[in-house]
Order: sequence, then structure tokens, then C-alpha cells
Amino acid sequence: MTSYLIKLSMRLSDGNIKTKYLVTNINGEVKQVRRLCELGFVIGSEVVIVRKSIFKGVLLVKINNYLLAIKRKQLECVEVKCE
Amino acid sequence: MNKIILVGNPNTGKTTLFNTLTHSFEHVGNWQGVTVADKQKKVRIRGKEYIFVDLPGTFSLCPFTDEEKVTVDYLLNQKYDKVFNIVDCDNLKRNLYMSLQLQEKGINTVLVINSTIKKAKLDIDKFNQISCFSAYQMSAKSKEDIDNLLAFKAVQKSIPYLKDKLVLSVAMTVENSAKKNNINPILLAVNLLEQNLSFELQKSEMIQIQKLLKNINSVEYIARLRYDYISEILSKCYVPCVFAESKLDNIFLNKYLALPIFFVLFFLMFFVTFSSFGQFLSEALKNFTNIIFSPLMKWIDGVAPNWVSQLFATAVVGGVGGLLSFLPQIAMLFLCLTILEDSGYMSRIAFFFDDLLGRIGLNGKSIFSLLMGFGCSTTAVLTSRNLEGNSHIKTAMLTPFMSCSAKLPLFIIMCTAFFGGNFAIIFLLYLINIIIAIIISIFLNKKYPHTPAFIMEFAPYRRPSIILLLRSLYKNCKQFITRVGLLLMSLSVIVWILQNFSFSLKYTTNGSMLQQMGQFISPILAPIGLNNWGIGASLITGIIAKEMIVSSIAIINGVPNGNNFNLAVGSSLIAGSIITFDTLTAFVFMLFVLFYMPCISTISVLKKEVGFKNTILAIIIQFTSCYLLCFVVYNLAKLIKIYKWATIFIIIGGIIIIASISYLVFRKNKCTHNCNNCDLKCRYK
Repeated sequence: MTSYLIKLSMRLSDGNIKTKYLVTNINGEVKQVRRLCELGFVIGSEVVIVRKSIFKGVLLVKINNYLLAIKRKQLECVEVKCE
Repeated sequence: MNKIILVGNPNTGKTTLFNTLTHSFEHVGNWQGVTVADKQKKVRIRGKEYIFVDLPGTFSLCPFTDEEKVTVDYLLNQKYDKVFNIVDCDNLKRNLYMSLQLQEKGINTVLVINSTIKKAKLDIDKFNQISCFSAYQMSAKSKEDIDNLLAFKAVQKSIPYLKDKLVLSVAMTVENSAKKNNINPILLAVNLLEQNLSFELQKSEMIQIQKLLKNINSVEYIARLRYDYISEILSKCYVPCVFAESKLDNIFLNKYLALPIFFVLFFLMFFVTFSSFGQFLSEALKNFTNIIFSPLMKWIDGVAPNWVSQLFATAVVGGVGGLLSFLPQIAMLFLCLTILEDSGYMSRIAFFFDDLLGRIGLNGKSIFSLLMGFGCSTTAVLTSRNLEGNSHIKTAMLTPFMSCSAKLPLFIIMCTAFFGGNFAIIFLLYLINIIIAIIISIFLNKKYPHTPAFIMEFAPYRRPSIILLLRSLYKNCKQFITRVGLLLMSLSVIVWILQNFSFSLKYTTNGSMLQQMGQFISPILAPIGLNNWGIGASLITGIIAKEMIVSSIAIINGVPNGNNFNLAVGSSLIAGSIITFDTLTAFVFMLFVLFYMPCISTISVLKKEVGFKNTILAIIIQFTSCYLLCFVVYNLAKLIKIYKWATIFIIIGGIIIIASISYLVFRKNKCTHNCNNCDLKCRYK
């Protein structure tokens, strides 16, 4: 049951490769949130994690049809659900 | 006069358009953050005068890094007539976000849709019809479109989403403050929602706003309004390209292959630079300069007094003409760097290095500056500006550790003379260099804690354009030749005068000014085996420009102007002149030159980037670490000469040092406390 709930809403930083996610919420420090929103992480947008770096510290995500490399830590404020 | 500024997201082609507009060759590259400061140029087009200003790329008008601040400050506080907002046709959705911000501010903007590598389809007429933008579609490289672009007039249109209920009600609430600060209430409302206000609101307004925005993430709300509007327009007139990750990434970003591939490419770059091809070109150039200089020398010998012809022979032909023969090698190095930059591989390096560099407190993007540092430290320090937070300071301080191309001539000469032309020694020097930089970085991490932030758009792979390569080759060669011809020529003359005149202005080599200066600092260099006034003197001149070390050695040793500058200087260093080395001191000298101090122009840039205190700190760190290393190497080598068994202990010590560094870099972070600096799995604990 719990695992099912986690699947419903999770942080993008915990996401798996090549799964489509929908952004459901975004929370955190204003400056970080603002930058993420500007890059396209707004509620309802589609994100795919394309690749993780060697130590999984950086994720390569596809959003709005472009590739963005971003630190995992920064993606912790993005809440997503599986499409 | 018309002043037009160029703004847009990173890596959309602003500098390319700037180059087309102004017929210049400013540095362009296929990675974000190539331009880090404003550049302007005046041109006359069809009888009209224009000033074009190229600004660093920014994702939005709320700056996140220092380079973005440059752009936003310029946009909001400077005077100009028009803005060209360059957007990439293939990445229109995100690019238009900033364009909307410009429209909201009511800035006179022409949207230039760059379709150089166009895969997506856009119906530009319909786009202009239904959107609030005034757009012109062109390739940033196309000269034919310039007249039309300059004649294109932007029309102010209303922005529909600003009539949103929440925006309007916030605007109504803050009307008083808006009037007081002379700002449009709707604009103020947008700023308020973005939480990007430069002044404080009245108390009563603040309370009402808090009520209005209760349970609403205002930053996200306004961003969503903009993105919804963009999506709505684009759905009617735009077919995005089918997006697929490049297959090359499976190789270049492979878990196991990424690092080996990087090192192979790195080695290849040095192989191409130092190998026979570079030397072959070097020979050709030497013969060419001889054809010019020999008759000139003969003529001067006949006409001018003895000391003038001496000055000409040693300072101009020997010191400067000799340096010119290294042009091919330096050009090759820059060519390799340009290929790296233009291919799109740079962003891949940054991606997979971020993890490793994060361990030593740097950022993946630091690799841009560090790699550029192999070309020229001065420009490389500037590129560190696109880094977030503390990484900016640390990268700027570490970049001078990378051995710049100006030191190449010295390394080539020493390597040919003392190590039988085995260029593995130079490669070893570069490796030592990098290891020292890593150690220093770990220490700097204590003073400037790591800010875990890294945002970078992945540039697409591109075949490096031949024209661009030729242009950059031409530019770098021109820069090197003018530098040798003007700065180094005059410096060489000064060094020659210092070397051949005493303080009482007598023409003598014994007790000359240079000798006395060199003798003053040679006691400092004695513990590392470089106890020779000539070496001290050449190192002093090296602070002004690193190429001068070779020139000064040639002048001090009185190298005869013969056919082969490289061999002539080399053989003068072995015996019978003022500056001589044996194999050990030659290695120590190369090690010392590697990073003993940045040159003057790097110091001045460093001061601008990280402040006076940090610059002094950087110089002190660089000098002491270099001195210590040379001291250890010199004395250990001497120890080995006497006691052969000491080798074992040294090898063991070396292994321990390398192992502990590798541990620090590759260890798995275990975080037992609730820290903000660890970006790994600590929250699972």
C-alpha cells in the first residue's frame, strides 16, 4: 500500500530512467523554485529522466523537448507522478 | 545613432549574430557561457551608424549567476534604442519565456528567430499574427537578412495572460505603491508574484497580498501562466522537431567508457600538438623567418653601431623571432580546443565530471574554464563567471594552475635538450599539474563550502564548421603574432638593455642591472637547486608574460642567431653559458615554471573576478605549493642519488598520496548528520 502511495506522488530526484512523469507540485527555496519554473518545471509539464551520471549526482532530463543537466539535489523540490 | 543590444538564452547564437552584424570574429562555441561580459562595437550599415552590444546569455530576467547579472543589469539600467532577442527555433518553448518577460516590461524588442540548424517548422506569419511578439526569422549567419532585420519594426501588442484574475487583483491592491515608485501596477504585480521586488510594499498592502496569495505558489503560478500562453500559441503555428537523444551519448556518456575516452582525447590533443606534425610546421616557419631576417641582419651590421646590431641580433631575432617558430604548436593546441568546444562534447564532459568535481568542491562547468586554461589563463579565468556561487571563486583561483600555451616553447626546448625529445615528460608535467590543482581544491573547499547547484542545457552534437575553425585559427595566430611583435618585442629589448647595461648605464655584461636583480632573488631559489642569477632573472620576466622566460634565456645566454632556435637555446643550456642545467635541475625548473605564479594579465583579471584578497591568497597558494613541490622533488632526487634504497620508500609514499587523493575523490559520501552540502543519499539514512 505504501509503495503504491509513493508511486502516486514522488520527488523527481527519486525517479527512474526513461519513465514519463508529470510535475504535480514544486516547493522549496524561492530562488531555486523560480529557476526551475523558468526552465519549464511547472505543474502539468512532462519530464523524462534520460540518464544519470556515474555517481547519480546529476540527472539528464528531457523537458519541453530539450535536454537539461541538473543536480539531483535541486530536483528534490519537484514533486511528480507517473503518467 | 542606434544602440541595439543582443539578448537571449545561452547558446542560441547571439555572438554569431553579433559577428554577422559587425563583421567581427568574437569567440563562439557550442556550450553555454562562452560570452561572459558585454562587448560592443560601432558599425556603419548603409550610411547609418549603429552600436551593437553582445551580452551573456540568460534564462530569465531574474539572474541566477554573475554573468546573468551582467545582462539583466544592462537591460534594466542602461540606455539603448532596441533589443534583439535571439531565440533558437528548435527550442522555442523555453526560449520564449524570457521573451515574454521582455514584453511585459514594455521593452522595444524584435524577436529574432535563429533557424541556422532548423529542424522544427514554424509558420512565422501566423506566429506574428496570433502572438504578442514581433518576430523575424533568419539564420544568424546570413548576411543577406541584415538589412531586413534592421528595418524590421517591433509593434507593441497587449499580453493576454496579464488580464488573469489573480494578476489583476494583485495589481489593484498594490496600486498605491506602484504610483509612489512610478511603475506600472501590473508589472509590479508580476514582480510580486515572481517574488522579485526591489522595494518594500506598504504594510496594509502586504497584509492583503498575503491573504490573496494564501495557498498559492505564486512563483509557479506566474511561470505556468506564461508557459500556458506559449503552448497555446505554438500549438497553432509550430511543429517541434522529433526529439531523440544522440546515439553518440551512449558511447561518450557510458558509465565505464566516459572517463577513458576523455583521457584518450586529452592525450590525443597533446600528441597532435607536440608530435612530428607540429614540429614539421615549426621547421617550415623557421626557414621562412630566416629568409626575412638574414638579409636584414647583414644590412644592419653594415650600417649601425656595434651595440645596436647586437641588440637586434639577440633581442629581436633571437628572442622574438625564435618564439615565432612555436606558432604552429600553439595554433594546433587552440585548434584542438576549438574542435572540443564546437562539437558539443564540452557539455558532456561537464555532465559526467560534475560528480567527481563535486567531491573536490567544484562544479561540472568548472571543466570549461580549466580546459580553456590550457590555452590562455586570462580568458579562461573570465569564463568561470558562468558558475554558480562559491564555485565561481574556486574555479577562478584554480584556473591559473593549468599550464597555459605560453609555457609550451620552454617545455619543448627543455624536453628536446634534456630528455631526448621524449614528450611523455610534458604529459607527466600536465598530470602533476592537475593532481596539485585537485589537492589545492580540496583545501579551498574548507574556506569556501561547496554550493551544490548545476544547471546546464545540453548542447546538441555538431560537426565543427570548417569556417569557424579557420576563423579561430586565424584569430589565435594573429593574437599570438601581435603579442610577440608588440609586447614581447619591447619586453625583449628592455631585458636586453637590463642585461647589457649596469645601473650606472655602462655597456657591460658583468654586473648588469639584470644580473643584480637576479642575484637578489637567487638565494630564494637555492634550496630547489636553481641557484643561478640568470634563472632568477628569467623567472622575473616570466611574471609579465610567460613567453618571456624563453626570450630572456636566449638573451642572457647570448644565443647566436642560427638556423634552429630550439636546438641553439637547448645546447646553450647544457654547458658553457650563464644559465645551465643538469637533468634534475631541468626537470625542477620545468616544474617551477609550470605554476609558480600567474602572469600579470591573469592577475588583473583574477582581481576583477574574485577580489583583491582572494587574488593575493591565490598567488600565495600557487607560489608556496609550487615551491614546496619543487623542494621535495629536488631533495628526494638528491637523496636517491646517494641512497638507492630510498626509492622504495618514495614509491610507497607516492602510492599512499595518490591513493588518499583517489579515496577523497571517489569515496561514497556517508552523511551522518543533516547537512545541506551533501548531494548524495544521506536522506535515506
